[in-house]
Amino acid sequence: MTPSRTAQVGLALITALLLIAIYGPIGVTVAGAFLPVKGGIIQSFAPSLTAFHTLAGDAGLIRSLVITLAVGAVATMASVTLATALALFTTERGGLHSRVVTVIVFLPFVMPPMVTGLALLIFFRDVGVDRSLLTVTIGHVAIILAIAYRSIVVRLTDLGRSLIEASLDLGASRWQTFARVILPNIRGSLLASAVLCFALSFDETLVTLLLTGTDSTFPIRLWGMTRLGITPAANAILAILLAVTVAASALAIAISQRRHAKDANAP
Amino acid sequence: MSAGDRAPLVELSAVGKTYGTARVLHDVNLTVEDGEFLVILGPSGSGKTTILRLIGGFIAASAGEIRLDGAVINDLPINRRPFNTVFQDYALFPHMTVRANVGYGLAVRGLPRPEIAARTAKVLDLVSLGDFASRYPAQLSGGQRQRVALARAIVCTPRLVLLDEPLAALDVDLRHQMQVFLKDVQRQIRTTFLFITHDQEEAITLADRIGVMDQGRIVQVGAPRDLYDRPGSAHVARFFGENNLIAGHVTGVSGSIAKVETALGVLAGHCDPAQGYVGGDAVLLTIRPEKIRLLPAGAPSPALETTIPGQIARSGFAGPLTQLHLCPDAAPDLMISVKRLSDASAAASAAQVSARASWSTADTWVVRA
Amino acid sequence: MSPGLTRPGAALAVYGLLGALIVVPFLSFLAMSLYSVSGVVIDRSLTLANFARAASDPVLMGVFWRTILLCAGIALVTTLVGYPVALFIAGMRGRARYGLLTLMVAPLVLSYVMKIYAFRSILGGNGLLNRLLMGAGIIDAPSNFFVFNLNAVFLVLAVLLAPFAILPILLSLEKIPAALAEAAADLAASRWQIFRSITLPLSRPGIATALSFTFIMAIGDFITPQMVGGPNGFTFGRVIYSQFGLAFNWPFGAALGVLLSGVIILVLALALALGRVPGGATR
Repeated sequence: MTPSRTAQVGLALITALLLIAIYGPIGVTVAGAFLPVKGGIIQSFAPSLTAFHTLAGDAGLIRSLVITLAVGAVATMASVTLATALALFTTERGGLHSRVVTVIVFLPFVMPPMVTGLALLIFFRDVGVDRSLLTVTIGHVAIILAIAYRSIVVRLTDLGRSLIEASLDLGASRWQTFARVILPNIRGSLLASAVLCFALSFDETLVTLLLTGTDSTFPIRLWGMTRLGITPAANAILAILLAVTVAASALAIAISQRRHAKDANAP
Repeated sequence: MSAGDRAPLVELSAVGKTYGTARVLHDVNLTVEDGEFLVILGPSGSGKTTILRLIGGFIAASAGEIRLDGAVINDLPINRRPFNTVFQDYALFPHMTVRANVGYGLAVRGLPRPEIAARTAKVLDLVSLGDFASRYPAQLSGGQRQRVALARAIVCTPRLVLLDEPLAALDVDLRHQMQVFLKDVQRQIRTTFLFITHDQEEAITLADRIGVMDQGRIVQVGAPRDLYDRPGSAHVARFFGENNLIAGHVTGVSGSIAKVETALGVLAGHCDPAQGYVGGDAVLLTIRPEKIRLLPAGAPSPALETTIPGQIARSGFAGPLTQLHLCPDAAPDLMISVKRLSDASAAASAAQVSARASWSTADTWVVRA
Repeated sequence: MSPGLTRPGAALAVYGLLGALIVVPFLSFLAMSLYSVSGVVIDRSLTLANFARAASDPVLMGVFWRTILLCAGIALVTTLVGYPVALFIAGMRGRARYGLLTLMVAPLVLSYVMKIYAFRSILGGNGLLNRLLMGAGIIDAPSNFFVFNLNAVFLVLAVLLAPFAILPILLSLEKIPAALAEAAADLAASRWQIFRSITLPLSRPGIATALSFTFIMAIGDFITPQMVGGPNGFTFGRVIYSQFGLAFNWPFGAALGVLLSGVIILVLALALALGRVPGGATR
């Protein structure tokens, strides 16, 4: 039931206000890449690309970006692979296994990053593993696993058992069944959750802060900069990132929409 | 049809299946003869799907042995059993064309491409889907998908094709067409078919032999005619088609004729001497509705027949048959069901108030109650 | 257990991996809360001293309850604002809805630290907000209302967490079958009555999720309070973090972390219990 005209206007107003509040800081950030901005106020209307030039020369910042991308890529691949294996396990065994695995997988996701990060910090110290990019990556995997897991479980459940049974029945090995029947049919979920996982890993700050060694990711660099002032070069990165991430999340939504439409046409 | 002394293709011996505390199959003994069309018939929950899945390897037996050519295959995994299944929901791979679906079993075996193409094409022609080879399952109708599933199962020339209520989702006309089609295909390729269904009409149409299941047990196995005329138990007697069941006690047996004391008096019934009926046994005298005649008032009672006078309670025209119900004078609570071909005499009977039901002892059959 | 894709030994591998990655660390965390520290050495004898100390420290308890109150407030505000926005989006169709959704979701993937930093500068003495308020004549001189205190934390978190309130509510609104509203209208209910008697109750799961998620995210957040809280905006999260930094009392910090986890589990349980649709249908 659509709301009345007046209600619509009221709702639209609230929505607009919220969007302004949300995009205000983002706008300031992006503006800061092209114009001198202080306190959220544009000091002078002299747009320039010096920020981007500085960025190209800031080796430390670029290095942290590369590290962030690497950690993100590794964590995403590990999470998606692990999530797929777990999802295959629980959708086949069902029942108690399903419940137990779900609780365990969602624990680090539901708990605040602080708790998960501290748990891993304590654990690494107990087993004598020094903090490094490896520990950071493991931390990321723990947090983002749930996203990939849920998405793949839902897709596998929709797919149903009979495709697997049919494939085995026709003489395919387990690996052939996975590669020829399951993988092609979960591609959408894998992709969508990979994008989401990567995005989350990219911006992960708190767990990274707790588990980082000498190398720092981009969020940690930013964090370090907040005391003295974030350089326009960082603004430049974020302006670029905004463009990329908007495209990425739109892609994720579009992929899942198309999958829904495709399945709606199936029997 | 009996296969004589040839060894069975598949044999289940004392097979049982338990889920937790629920016993789904009890002591099942079943043979599947090479080349036959065997139908397992039973209501939902009777365990028929379980048997199929046990043979296919999708679940493991809790007890007993499953044999193929005499060798025990309980531990043989699904993909090593030379059986192929037609699933109830068809389980066609949505991301593959019809051609790829049908050729899947051959492709995973690593057969050369030309051979796969040739065999696939041949089998698609067999099911009349040659023109649909490049379509995707989502673009096909239910009946077409059904045929693809069948084609996919038979192209690998399995020893046994398992069909899990494949026609359940089709509407009546299509179902009848497919029944004829399946029977033809089976005769043509001479592969053994194991078909499960809850539809008795379907069973009678398709089967060389039927195995009737009830609550996890195989109650009787035999040719459709035998099950119909000579049911081995009250359950089978009730299950197949409509039947009149008159309760009573045995008073005496001589050869294959038993005397049964019923509410309608002492009636003679044909029986199986091997059952060893003795006086006092609780039995049911069964007589099929279509074997009963209605004598008009005044007509002489035929010799050597049982004649029951009564009142016509209900009558209904049901197309080719006319259904009449007779309330016996001796036992007004009983209702004898009579089915006659819808001709003039049937109409005349329907118009009467009182009549006499008459049948020959040879058409009766006694089962334990 | 039916034969299929997974090997019989899979269970071992699965639970072994999950154990090492998740279960064991969390157990270590729990264990740490029961240890104590003497100097720089961690004494691993089990004791509940940390919890006793936490409970009996008035300053600490003050921060604890103030944090809970703050986050409850944040949860409430985000849900109160989020509901109308969710309604608005739910009323949209096609491209407009798709676009709005993207607008709501996109900022979530932009750098968290950066957003807070930008916010901080806007909220500052010479910042955009003060200039606007002065320009509009609401205030005469720059206000410190949002400068380095809990108010700042409140505002920033409320805005940043708003999408997390909107999405669950939107989801539950979409689950309500359109036929119900039509049936009510057919029975001559007004729009407001339909909203109050059908939409609102049936969106309860979404509301519960919105409230609990935003609360949990707020209470677990450390970055925002640390950046905009200043010395007047100390939250429980900052206390925990400091135990692992300069204060170097890991057992105590772990105990406080366990306390925080306890609160969160409680809130989750509450949300589950109260978030049921009345009558139990249409989930």
